[in-house]
Amino acid sequence: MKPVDGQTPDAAGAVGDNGPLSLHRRAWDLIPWVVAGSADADEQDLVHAHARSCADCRAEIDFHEALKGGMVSAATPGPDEVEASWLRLRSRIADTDGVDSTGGAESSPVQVQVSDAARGPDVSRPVSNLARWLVAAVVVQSVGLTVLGAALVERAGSPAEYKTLSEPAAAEAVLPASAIRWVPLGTLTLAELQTLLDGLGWQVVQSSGDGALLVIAPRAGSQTGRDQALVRLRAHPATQLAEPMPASR
Amino acid sequence: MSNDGTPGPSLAAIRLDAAAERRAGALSALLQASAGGDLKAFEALYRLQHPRLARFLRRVTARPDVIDEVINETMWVVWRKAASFRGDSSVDTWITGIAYRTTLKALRGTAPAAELGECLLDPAQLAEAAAAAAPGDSIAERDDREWIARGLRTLPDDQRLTLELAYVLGHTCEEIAAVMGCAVGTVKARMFHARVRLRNVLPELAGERPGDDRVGGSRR
Repeated sequence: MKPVDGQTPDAAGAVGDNGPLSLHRRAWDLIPWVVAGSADADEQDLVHAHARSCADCRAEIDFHEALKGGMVSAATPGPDEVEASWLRLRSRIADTDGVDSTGGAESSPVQVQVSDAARGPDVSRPVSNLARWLVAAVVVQSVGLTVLGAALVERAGSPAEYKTLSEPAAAEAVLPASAIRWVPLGTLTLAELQTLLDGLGWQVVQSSGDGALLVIAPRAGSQTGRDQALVRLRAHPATQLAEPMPASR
Repeated sequence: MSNDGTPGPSLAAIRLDAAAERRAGALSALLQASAGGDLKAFEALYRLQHPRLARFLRRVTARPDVIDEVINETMWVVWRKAASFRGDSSVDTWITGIAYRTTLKALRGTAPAAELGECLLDPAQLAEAAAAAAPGDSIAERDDREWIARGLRTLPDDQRLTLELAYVLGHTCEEIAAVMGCAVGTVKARMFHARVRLRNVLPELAGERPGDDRVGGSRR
């Protein structure tokens, strides 16, 4: 291993903003960020292009690859671990009064539906324990489903049960009960998305402004129910998150 | 950088950028919905954040109770303060910053008057925890983890955490500055000194145990 101070004799000089830095110095400074994957495309190109003709930087890249490999673990928390932690936090939220954010019932700019069962009394009224909170949630959900069912019956003559992307936000309350909130990875192409949805017989009925968060629902005549669709979506490698819409529960 | 005559961003880089943007958009959407009181959106945000926070915290402490406490305390603050998020940084960075401060507070709380590094388990225990966290690793890989863990333990906390935030959570230099509440130049200096120290310490540590040629040329 070549001494580091032979390449960068002065730390302040290596990181300072004064004067033009040599290509080698710039590349050397950028190596950790390139290896970490947080450097931008230009910086990555600069380092890799320089390293092709610089043995010192190639060795430094190898060193940092080994370092990163020894630090990053592929292990992730098990589902039970996450679930238990979440239940504890949810219980804390339910047991706490005066949560300012629950008071603001303004519609979200991303058109994420706010569930009556998920706020209001559940998060603003203190209750003694999780079981009571859950019972209350079930009751409120039941009421909500009843109201929603009645609304759907009244809307039987309406031309469509879903909201298209071009319709105003006011129509979001009529999402089908089986709708699913889905966050696919950005690597999913439009063609792959379409193939996946076609396979389910489902379609996109809402989207956040940047398309990162989608709400999908079955097309008329689809044979794939919500639970089945959830299983298939969650099994898909491009799925970050798939869960029923709150109002559909 | 284009003014050096290098080619533009590769397709793979563009796809990664697009994926990062979509993730950022999803997190932002969920945080905004959480600010409006949508507990389901907050739950989704929680489930997206939990694995990355746990991955980072496992590098800082081997105590599961502290990891769980810090994650939930962090997300509790996120729930309470969601409406105050102004988008000055990404949601990931904002939450990491809260987790960073919560971690310092929690670890100092477990060992009064001690600094972050001093609260941790000894190197052997930390290496054991690292190995347990990656049960699929070979003996050689566990050996390397232990070796690197010992090297990292020789760094001051601010330098070690700079490396952890960069390599474990993938934060940029600017994001780490926001998380740690310091200047970008300070982060660069910490990274520089961490590199120099590890370059000198790791080969020495490698000489203290058998099989020290497994990790390759970087340790010579």
